[in-house]
Amino acid sequence: LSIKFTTLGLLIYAAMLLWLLAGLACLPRGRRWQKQSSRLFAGGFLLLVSACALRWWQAGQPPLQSMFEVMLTLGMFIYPLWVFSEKFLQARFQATAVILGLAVLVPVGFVFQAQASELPPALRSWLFIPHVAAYMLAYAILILAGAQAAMQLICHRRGNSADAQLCELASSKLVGLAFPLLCLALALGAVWGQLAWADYWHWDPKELWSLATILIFAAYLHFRRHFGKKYMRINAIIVIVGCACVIVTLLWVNLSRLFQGMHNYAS
Amino acid sequence: LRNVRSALFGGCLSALVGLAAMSIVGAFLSLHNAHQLFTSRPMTAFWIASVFLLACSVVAQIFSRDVLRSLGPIAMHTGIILILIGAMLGSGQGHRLAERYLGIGRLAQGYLRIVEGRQSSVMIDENGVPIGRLPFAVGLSKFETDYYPPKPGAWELVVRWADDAGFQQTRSLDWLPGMPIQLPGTANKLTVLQYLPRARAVYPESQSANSQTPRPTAIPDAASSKPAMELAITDPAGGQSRHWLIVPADADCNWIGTPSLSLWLVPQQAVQQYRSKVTIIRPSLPTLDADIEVNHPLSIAGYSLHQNSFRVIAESSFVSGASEDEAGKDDEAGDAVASSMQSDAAGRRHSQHGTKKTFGNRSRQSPQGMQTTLAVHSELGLSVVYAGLALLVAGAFVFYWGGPIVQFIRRPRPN
Repeated sequence: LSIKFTTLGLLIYAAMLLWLLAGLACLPRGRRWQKQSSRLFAGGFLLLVSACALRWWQAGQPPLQSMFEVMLTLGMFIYPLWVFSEKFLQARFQATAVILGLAVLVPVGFVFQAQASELPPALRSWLFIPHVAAYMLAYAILILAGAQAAMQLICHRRGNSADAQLCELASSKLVGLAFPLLCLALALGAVWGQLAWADYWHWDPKELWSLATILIFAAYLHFRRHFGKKYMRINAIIVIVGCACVIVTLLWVNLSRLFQGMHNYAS
Repeated sequence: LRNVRSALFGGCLSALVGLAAMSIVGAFLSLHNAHQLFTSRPMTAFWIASVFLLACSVVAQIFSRDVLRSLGPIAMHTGIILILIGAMLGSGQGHRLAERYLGIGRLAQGYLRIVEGRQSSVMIDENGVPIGRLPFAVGLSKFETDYYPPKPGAWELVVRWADDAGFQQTRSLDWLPGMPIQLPGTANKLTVLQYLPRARAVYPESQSANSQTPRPTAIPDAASSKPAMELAITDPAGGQSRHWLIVPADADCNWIGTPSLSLWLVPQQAVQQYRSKVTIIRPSLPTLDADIEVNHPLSIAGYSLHQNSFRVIAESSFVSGASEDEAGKDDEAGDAVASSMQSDAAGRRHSQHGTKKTFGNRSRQSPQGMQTTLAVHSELGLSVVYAGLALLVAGAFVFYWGGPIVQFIRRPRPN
């Protein structure tokens, strides 16, 4: 357990508290409570923006190196992406986004060490920010897609087919939004690998898990394009499997000693 | 036509799911085994079948009714075809075929190991076995390492020793007061007795700092920014000698021992960048000077040269031009040092060299020989892969982002 008694830590804990309250405000029905929840969600986001900016200033580099920094940035992306999804992609159930945000912030606040370290030579490249940022953005969108897919299955079970259809649509649109970013991040990684390690592909565990993630979402996009909404539950299950791969790529590969490769910077 | 389409779709989906499953399996293997798996004959057949499937899909989309709407998928699928073809061209087998049918004779990949002041054109494999010659030679004029500024008050205990091949190995020691640590290259054990983060040296009354054999001890001094450490070396017979490793006020670091086995107290400093300053020597062409550093390779004659790693060569083996007598002296000194820490007399001799005189102000960039390792890769097929990646990304953005953006722009607006 790593409790952080610093300004950065306090900002993160304050954001977590606001998001916890935002989640609780989602429980009662009614427009007034929903509005309060949105305000608290936005307030937490502003605190996280401050935390990211403070970290960037303190470390002298974008907060994208260690697991602490990556998860902090990922948590920060959740709110703007949720607002975008709600406004343009008909995503529903704000509580899912709030819970996801909190789930991302818990390890940031209580598990990962906040100690900043210098960039090793291989990470000192102009590709560092676009490559990692594209992956983080894509992963944040896919996690939201996974939450919509999970809500779709819950709605199916409750017999609420109207909400299930909306969730399915939002989920497919979110995957469509994230897929080009996944391709971009993969391509940038290939170019960077060629510059730093003399080869664009190394069959490294992180590369293979990210390839598996892309392939699963490619399979989903093919399946949905071919069958549309004919097999809605299968669509949702593929998205959830893809999200599980995202979590493995992001966390398990970096934290487990099982996967020894060339991407072990963030461990 | 519908049956053909369904069969194509089934094939595509099976290929995607199959490859995803293989990727997950491959992630649990070592890098070498994963590479072997994905370049094995069955997988080569799979890659070729994938190219065929993708080509069929592209043809089907080109002849579809709404070809404009299919531009994105056409670009993506063409991109993947190019990536696979480029990868096949860049493989070892691709190089053999290119040599046979196109007359392009290049080595696919390997390494160059060059010592400062020397040149080489011999490519070696991972195990150091020569695999061929490059059409040019690479001379290493200088090897440079940049460090981040040291962290204030953060010091580490480092052991450096010469391995059997004559290369200097360096290891940071994880120590706790009173915990014995095995010293590499010797049967002796090291114990840190005490660590003073801010200390200064004090000399017995009978000696002074200018004495030929000063045996200082250390005392805490809040005004000092340099640390000191009291060490005990225990030999297998149980004999113990004690030494102080003190960083003088005017020095960056300090050490005791000899070039073949030494203990260093150095500030914690991470490597920021390292580079090889090289000269490319090509037959009947002017020489070319260049810097090769991590993330900044040099592209020349169809090869790219990348900074891979570096090693320090122990002084004794680096002096290869020295007479046997001289080399013998070095070895003798090395052996003496390994056993040195058993006797106080020897300890005095080394602390005389180490703490005060010769190496007191020595920087971390040791004057011993440096050897750089450059990864050398043929660029055959690389531009095809890059073109494929560009098409894949462009197609994905056009297809998944282009449509919604156009729809958003053209949406009916309320008056």
